[in-house]
Amino acid sequence: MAARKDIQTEDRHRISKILWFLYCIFLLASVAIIAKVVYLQYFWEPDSSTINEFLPNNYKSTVKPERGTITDRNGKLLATSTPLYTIHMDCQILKRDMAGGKIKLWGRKDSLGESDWRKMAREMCQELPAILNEGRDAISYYDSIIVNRDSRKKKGRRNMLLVKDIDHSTLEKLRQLPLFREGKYISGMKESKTDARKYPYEGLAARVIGDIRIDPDEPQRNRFIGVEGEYDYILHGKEGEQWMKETDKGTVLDPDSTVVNVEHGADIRTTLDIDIQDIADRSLRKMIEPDEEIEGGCVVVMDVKTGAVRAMVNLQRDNKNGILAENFNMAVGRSGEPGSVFKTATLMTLLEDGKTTLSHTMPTNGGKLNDFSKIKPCQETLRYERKTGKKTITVGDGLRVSSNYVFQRLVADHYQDCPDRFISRLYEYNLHDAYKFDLKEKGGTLPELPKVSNRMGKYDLLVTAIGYNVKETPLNIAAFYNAIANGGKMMKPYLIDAYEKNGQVTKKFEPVILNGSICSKATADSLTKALTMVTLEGTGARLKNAKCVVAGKTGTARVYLEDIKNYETQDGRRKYQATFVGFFPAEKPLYTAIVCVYTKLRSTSIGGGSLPAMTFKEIVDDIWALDTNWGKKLGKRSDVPDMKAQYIGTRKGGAPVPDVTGMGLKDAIYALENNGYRCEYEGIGHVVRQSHMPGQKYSKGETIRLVLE
Amino acid sequence: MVRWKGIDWKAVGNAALETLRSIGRGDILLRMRVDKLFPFILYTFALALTSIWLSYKADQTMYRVETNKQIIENLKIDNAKKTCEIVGLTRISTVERMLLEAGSEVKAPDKPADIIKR
Repeated sequence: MAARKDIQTEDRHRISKILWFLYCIFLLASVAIIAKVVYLQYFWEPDSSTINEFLPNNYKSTVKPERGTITDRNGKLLATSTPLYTIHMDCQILKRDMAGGKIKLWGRKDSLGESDWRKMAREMCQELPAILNEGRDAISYYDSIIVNRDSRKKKGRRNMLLVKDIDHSTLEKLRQLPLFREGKYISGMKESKTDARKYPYEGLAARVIGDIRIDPDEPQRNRFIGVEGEYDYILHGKEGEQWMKETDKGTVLDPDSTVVNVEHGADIRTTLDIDIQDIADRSLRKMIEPDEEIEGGCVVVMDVKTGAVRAMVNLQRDNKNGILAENFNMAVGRSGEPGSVFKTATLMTLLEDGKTTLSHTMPTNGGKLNDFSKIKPCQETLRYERKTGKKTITVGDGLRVSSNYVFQRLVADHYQDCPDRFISRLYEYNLHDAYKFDLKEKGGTLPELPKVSNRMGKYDLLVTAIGYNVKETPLNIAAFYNAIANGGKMMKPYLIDAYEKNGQVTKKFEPVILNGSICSKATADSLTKALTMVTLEGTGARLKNAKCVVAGKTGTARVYLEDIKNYETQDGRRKYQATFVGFFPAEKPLYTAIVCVYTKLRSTSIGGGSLPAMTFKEIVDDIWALDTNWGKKLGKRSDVPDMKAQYIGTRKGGAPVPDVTGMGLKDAIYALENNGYRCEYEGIGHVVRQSHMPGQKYSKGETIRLVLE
Repeated sequence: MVRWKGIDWKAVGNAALETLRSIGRGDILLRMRVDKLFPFILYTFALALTSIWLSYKADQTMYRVETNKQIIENLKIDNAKKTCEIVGLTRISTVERMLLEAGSEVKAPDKPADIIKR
């Protein structure tokens, strides 16, 4: 028993010794490991190749979403994204490796040395000037590369900027150049991509389409303008994330990793019609460009039934170079006293309240308001007296000749004791409202009406009646006239038609009624009739010969000069806001438009019946000619118009006759017609003879006979 | 000095010698009765091989996907650029200017087009 106990004790001793031995081994190993960790962490400095071996070969990358496009109502592209590339070059690439002689590179059959690298760089530089077109020569490019290669710059500071913001096709050409085609590990070519916005119509509707600028270094300089700015959250989309893996062949998506799918931005379809925008832009530009004393102007064209904005032009003259450009959205952000175009609102109030009719006659009284001594006699009324010899004037004629006297007299007679009644009517017309329009203009001013009060000064009431003491944006005035055109139904002006994704509408914006009836149908008809007389016989007579009948009103307002608190400088110069607003065709309105022209300080007046009306006429004529809805409808029994064959060439006469012998018929006709000649032929095959001597010049449209065999 | 007791050093020596001899004879695995596990070893080997092969093919496919993505991206960029150029040419003012420069008498219509009713 004792012997057995001794054996067991002996066994335990033996096991404990083994365990102790193992413990010592593990202890020593752990001490060694900790010591190694400390050494690696704080003392060891590996070279770059070793680091690469230890780093994980996959990394997380952010996938940028594609920014949505902006289109007009017909889907024509107004803004889209294309990338631009900046090319840097690590000129010192492989320099150290090549210092010891030629090196063998993976994937290349031959060895590469410093002289080979420089030779390829030289060959590349020979072709760079033609591709980059920066005005630099080949030597200049080569010198830059070699100076950088020979310098001793530290890693991270040795990338040389070769070229900035080139497009994709230029990049493709660069990739084919002698050194660059060897790949980034030999050439040191480094591409960085940035998304740039492209505007195919360039400056057209530039302020409405807008742009964004995000500067991470200086956020105070960020700017968000127009549709691009206001709807950045729709256009931008959401970034995605994915893990990429380095393989022998290149970087690929790690199929075992998680992916956050990128959400591309939605497209925005606006209500703009780029053809109408072009017409309006061209017409306004043509009218105001020659007059240096004009600061700028704006045009808004709206669809009568829906309130959709079809065109919004804002041209402002650059003080330095005098060029007209879209720098500020005056249509939305420049409110001012509108002048006589406001008389229509006054007349609407009078008609709605049953205070007058268009045929109501009143004495002209020499244009003087006897009980308002501060108000000067009305020149328009005096002119009317002189022209017609009459001592009375109807309300309709008052609007036609834009008589201040008529409207001030009527308002004084009917609202002097209750001005609040008159002003509250103006509020009903939404003339105080910015409509929560789809665009805002930073730094702009909003529409304003006087407060509804019975204590309004009598002069304040009278100047309000003729469009002073109120502030209106061109868009407000256009929306008001649009309501008249729409039989009293006031539509909210809007610019965004729909959000779309992959061609599918994801959200559609319907027209919004601001006021179902700002006036009765009868009042709207009366106003249309009166406004038609303005363009046929009144201050807007420049529209008399427009391609369709226009109902509209002129307005000429002096601009209040805030800095001197007056309408006029000491030397008698003024600023003017000249306006023409109306709708067409008067009998069945489709479009409402407003043209506003703003002048600099000048000594001569500019009226709404001049430049604005002329611009309006051009717009009407061009829209009318483009719109097939106004074209003649040819039915079964219609008279088909006599068509006269008219040769249309693409070049003026006098081009030499080309030698077309040996050509096929198709090529021969193309060559001859492109040079302004007509062509007749006989036979089949190739041209063997031509009637006119090659190289000789003949008159345009001359017929040349060809014989084919 | 620690003495190791209870260990039959002779037997251990013999076993080691025998193992070396088996290695020399090539029947070490049979002596260890590994032949029973042979199908499982083959299966494990096949699994490892398949895994490596699939991983290689996956990388190849992903590389092809990335290459194609790049091609599509390049085509999209070219398409966007060309679309921009073409759209810019549809502007009425541009067309009129080009016609003028080409010496053409074609102008923008001065009346709406006649429509044939269906």
